[in-house]
Amino acid sequence: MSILTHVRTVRTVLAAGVALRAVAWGALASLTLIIGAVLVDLVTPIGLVARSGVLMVAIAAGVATAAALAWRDRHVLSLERVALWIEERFPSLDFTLATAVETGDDSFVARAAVDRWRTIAVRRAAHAVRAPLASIAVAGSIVFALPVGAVARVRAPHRGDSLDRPSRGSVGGASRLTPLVARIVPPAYSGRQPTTIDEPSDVRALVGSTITLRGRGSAGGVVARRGVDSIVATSEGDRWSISLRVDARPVALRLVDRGFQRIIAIEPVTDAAPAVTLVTPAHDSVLRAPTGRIALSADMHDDFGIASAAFEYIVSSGEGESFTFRSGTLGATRPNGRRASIGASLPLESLGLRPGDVVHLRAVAHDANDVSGPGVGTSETRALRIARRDEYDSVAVEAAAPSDEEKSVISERMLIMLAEALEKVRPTLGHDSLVTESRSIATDQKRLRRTVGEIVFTRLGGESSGEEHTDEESPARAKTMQDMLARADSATNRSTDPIDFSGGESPVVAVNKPLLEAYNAMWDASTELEIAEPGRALPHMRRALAAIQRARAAERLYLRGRPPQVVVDVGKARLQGKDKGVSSVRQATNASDSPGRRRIERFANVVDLAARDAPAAIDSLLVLRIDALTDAPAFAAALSDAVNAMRGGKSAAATEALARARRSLAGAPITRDSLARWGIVP
Amino acid sequence: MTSEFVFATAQYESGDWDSAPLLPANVIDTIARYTEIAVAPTGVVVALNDDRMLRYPLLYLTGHLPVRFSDAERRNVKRFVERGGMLFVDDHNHDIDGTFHKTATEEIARTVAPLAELPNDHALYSAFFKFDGPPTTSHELNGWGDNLVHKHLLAVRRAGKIAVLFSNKDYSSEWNYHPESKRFLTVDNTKFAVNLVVYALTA
Amino acid sequence: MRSRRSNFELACRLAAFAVLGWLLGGSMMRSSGRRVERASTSALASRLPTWTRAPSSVLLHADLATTPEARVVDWLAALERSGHAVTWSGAPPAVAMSSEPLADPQGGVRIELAAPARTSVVLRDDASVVDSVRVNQLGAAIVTPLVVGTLVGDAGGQRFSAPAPDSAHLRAIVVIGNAGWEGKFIVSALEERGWPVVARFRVAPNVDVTQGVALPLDTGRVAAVVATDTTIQSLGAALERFVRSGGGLVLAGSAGLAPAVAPLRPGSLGARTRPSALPVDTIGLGATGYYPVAALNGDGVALDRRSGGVAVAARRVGAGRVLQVGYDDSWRWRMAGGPGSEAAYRDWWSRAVAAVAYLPDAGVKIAESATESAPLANLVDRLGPPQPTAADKTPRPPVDGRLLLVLIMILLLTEWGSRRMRGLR
Repeated sequence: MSILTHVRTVRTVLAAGVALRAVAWGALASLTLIIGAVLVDLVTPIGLVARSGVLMVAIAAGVATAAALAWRDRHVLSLERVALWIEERFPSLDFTLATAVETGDDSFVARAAVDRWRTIAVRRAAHAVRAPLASIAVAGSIVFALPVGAVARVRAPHRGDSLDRPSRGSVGGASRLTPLVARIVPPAYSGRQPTTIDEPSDVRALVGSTITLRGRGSAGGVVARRGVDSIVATSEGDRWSISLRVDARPVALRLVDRGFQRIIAIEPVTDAAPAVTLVTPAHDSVLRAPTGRIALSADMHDDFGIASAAFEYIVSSGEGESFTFRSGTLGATRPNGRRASIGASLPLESLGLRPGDVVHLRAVAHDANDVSGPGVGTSETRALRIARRDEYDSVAVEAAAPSDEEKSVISERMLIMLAEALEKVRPTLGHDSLVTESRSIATDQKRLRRTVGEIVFTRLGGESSGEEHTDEESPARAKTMQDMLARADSATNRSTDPIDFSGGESPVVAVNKPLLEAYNAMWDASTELEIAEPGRALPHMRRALAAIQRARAAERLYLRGRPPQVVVDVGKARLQGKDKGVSSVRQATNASDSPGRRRIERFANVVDLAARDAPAAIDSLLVLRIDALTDAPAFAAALSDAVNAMRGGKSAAATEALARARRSLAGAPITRDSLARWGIVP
Repeated sequence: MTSEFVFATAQYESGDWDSAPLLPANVIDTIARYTEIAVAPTGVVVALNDDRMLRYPLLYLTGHLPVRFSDAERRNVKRFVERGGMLFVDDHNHDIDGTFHKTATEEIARTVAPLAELPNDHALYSAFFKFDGPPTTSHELNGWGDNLVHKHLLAVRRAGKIAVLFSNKDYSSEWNYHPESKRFLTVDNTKFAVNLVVYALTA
Repeated sequence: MRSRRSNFELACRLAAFAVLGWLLGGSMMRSSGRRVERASTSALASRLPTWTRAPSSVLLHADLATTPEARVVDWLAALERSGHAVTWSGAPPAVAMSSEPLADPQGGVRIELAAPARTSVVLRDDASVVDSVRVNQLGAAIVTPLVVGTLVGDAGGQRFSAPAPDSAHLRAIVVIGNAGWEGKFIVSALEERGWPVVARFRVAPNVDVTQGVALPLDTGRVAAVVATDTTIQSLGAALERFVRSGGGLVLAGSAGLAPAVAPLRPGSLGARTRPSALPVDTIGLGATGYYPVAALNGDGVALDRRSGGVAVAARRVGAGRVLQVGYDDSWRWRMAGGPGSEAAYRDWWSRAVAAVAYLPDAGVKIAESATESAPLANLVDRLGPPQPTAADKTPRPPVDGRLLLVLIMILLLTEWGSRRMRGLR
């Protein structure tokens, strides 16, 4: 083996030693940080976030240390430096080795003691790693000596590991309520994952969740009080545990361990019922014939998931005192998602409908709540009525199902569509064509207006029509809505004393007013259409359509005329009855706000207590907050802020929160900037 | 607006709300016959989806067809009850298995609270005339409906007062005649209406 | 013949003795004025121990921008009683506070503040700030539903306080009228508020709906009577006796037309107003008309003026109070008002009744507080009115005594030195 080969061998040995030493010191640095964190955590608990960072920091520190040391000793890779290192230990070489390495010619070097070079290098390397390895051994012993839980808290931090933290001092006298861990397991249907909270003071959980509280120590003597109920703790090894189910009422759970006490506020989260919107049909309708299919669609959403959804229908048949009902469902699905859209098609022929029958439709969704539900959400109901043969309701517009266009009856919406289409193609039409088309729409508009007029005046008990049947202008024809209203008012006003109706008008007039508006708007529209201005007619036509829809909303199903109006002669009937009544006793009403009054008193007492015993005041505020969660949420929220501020020692924030709490509880004060003779009178 | 009592009939979107058009006049006549309560000579019809329904603290609702409140109607009924109004609902089908009963009770439970039996010694039955319970009507056993004589009315109570009164006894048919026809009756079968109104006005 | 040196030495000696004599004479001479010890408000508390040890010849004077704490005033008064002359000057703000319970089952306190115009006053209690107000004329009033502990006002640094009063012990309210919505909802509102109510509604001849045992009208059992119409007439002369002995009366709607209340009402009623346009959606109080007060009696006070006239008026009759409320269908506000109208209606009627309800005297409540309810009045009461700044009448030597002593020493040393250095060359 040549000299240079020997030198390379020595280099390898030395480099290995350097590497080993760097790694060892790096490992020791990491271990030291971990041990330090464990020791600190033993004295004062470190938060989860900080502990999660310790391991990463330790690893990073170790790597950095090893890298720094390796970099510092990188010259060990240089043959020249290795040669010089050998020269130092073997002065007899007299720099011949260095020359040989530089020149590559090892003839300069005497071959004596070559074998000893490797031995010296090995010894040197061993020496270098001795200290760090010994330190690592010591650190490792310390780690093994530390409590397992304490090391695990740093090595693998997770929620709920506060129980693994070793207790300090004697367990016998210390409170078993600290540390405390709460594990919340939501009901299975919600699909939520269990969560763990360290040192809980407020727990929000879905109704039906199971909360398990765990602490250190034996279970004997540890009790949870919920109102008048008590739950005794059970043992799990060296831990105690208490399980309870979250119900619909908020509760202040009082944990008691001998003389120690701890309050945990449990705030239930209610599973809301699904929200369902019926998209189609969009409106109630009156159908001329029970033919065709009604397209049904609905959207729904739920906070956890929709288990099932369907459309429901009820068919009512009959009149007078005799009605029969049939019901059914269609389009049933099981969406299983938080949002869903369902659709179906209802063939009207399959229902066997007859004139006068009414079909009520709605969408229904159930959620998967198997704890307190299922929650049922329903949409608004649409009513589809089959017109009777003797009705005259050509005012009806937009049938729910696509209806055949009938030339004899054209709805206002159809007229709008025709006018819009005409306006769109207007640039391409010649003037004559435009006038012809426009006047054709005007004729239909006037026909519809006449129909509306006949309905209005028929109801008023007046003449069948308020105008002539020709298209000619007539000075006798009332053009304005005011004229119409005046006619309507005079036609319906039966006594000089105003009856207690809004606006001093009869309900018939109140119902007719939108139709009168539509009548007037149609007049304006037809005027514009006559002069071939479909664009200017469109706003009037839309106004007429809106008025018709309002009229339809007011009278939805019954266009057969007003019910008979009987006016009682009260004066004549007064005290004519043969029988006499007897005096009776009225039951007193309970004060509506006596819980509020008690709450005010408790609040005042708690504020008083805060000056003397802040921790007790905090507990009392917590209990008061729970009581108020359901019916005074603003007050509860302000109390929550006050509690948090008091716990954090922020007195200004606590005072501000208490000020908010008192205002939401008892109302704001009334202040006057002067002294009145009569004080503050309403 | 006057401050006299005005009998109001509730108009709702889904059904035949005006199935007893003569009942208001008959009740008004009865009130005048037995009491000194200032009462308007005609009734009014108010739409439940209109905020103006709140101006009539006693509302009468009847029908044969399904009752399905729209969102606006539900909102108004809830407000109405919370502010102290009283809703009197009568099943014109007198059919406990019928669609009116099922849908109306469902809507009431959803909007206000579930109905419960009203005890027959409630103050309503002694508010003016003395009754041992809800008076039977001649329609309960007429072969239609459920053909049952219902011993109790149902009610939702708030702070001890009736907020919703529900009847399966078909007073709508019993009282739905012209007040002039009372002279043909040996016994005035509308006297319970006095109790209803007196209770509503004083409770 | 004396040499010049000897004359100089003699002159030094004489001068030294003269200065000494001046010093002695000055200290022994009685000053025509006294030494004055002064302190401002901020330093006063810390100076009191020193002042207590000062001889009674020293005039103690406080320059007060604000009235000090009660403890300090007490101390000053004690010093004065012990023979010291204590005076004060300055212009502390004249503030005062009184608190009394509301006649309201839900409690509440009315606090009346007196302060100079345009003063900002912040009112606190043990829990937090209650409210603040800028006084318009001579005072302000605050009604708060909740008071915790002692009420403390702060007017630009001047603190004053009053104890929270005990809750009032309330009597029943009698409501009487024809059966109708107005009576029903007034009773409901009062009961919901917590008032015990005795009611009588007339339904038919000899047929009434009643609640509670009919009480004799006296202030031992009844706090106020609310009448919704002229059925109040049935109470007759007992009503006037009740009011004059301290009871309250609310005449609502047309009740003011009853002959029995003519000597009690604040004014005669006019024809009921009817608005030209009825409300389209929500109904507010008075929006559907009311009975206006056509003519106020001499001592009647209009409390609520509207475009159609006075809607609410009040009057004191004997020991009692009468409120005339022209609204006869206020129930419409509760039923058909905007959001919150039910609670607002309840509050309104409760305050209307509280304005007239008889309240027994609760007595004086003593609170332990650092400040007084009327600090300036208390100060004047204890120490007398402010006095002009007392000038210090002590004749001060033109030169500090210590300098004079030094001068004496120099003169004597000079004389001694001159003698010692005689003969020196």
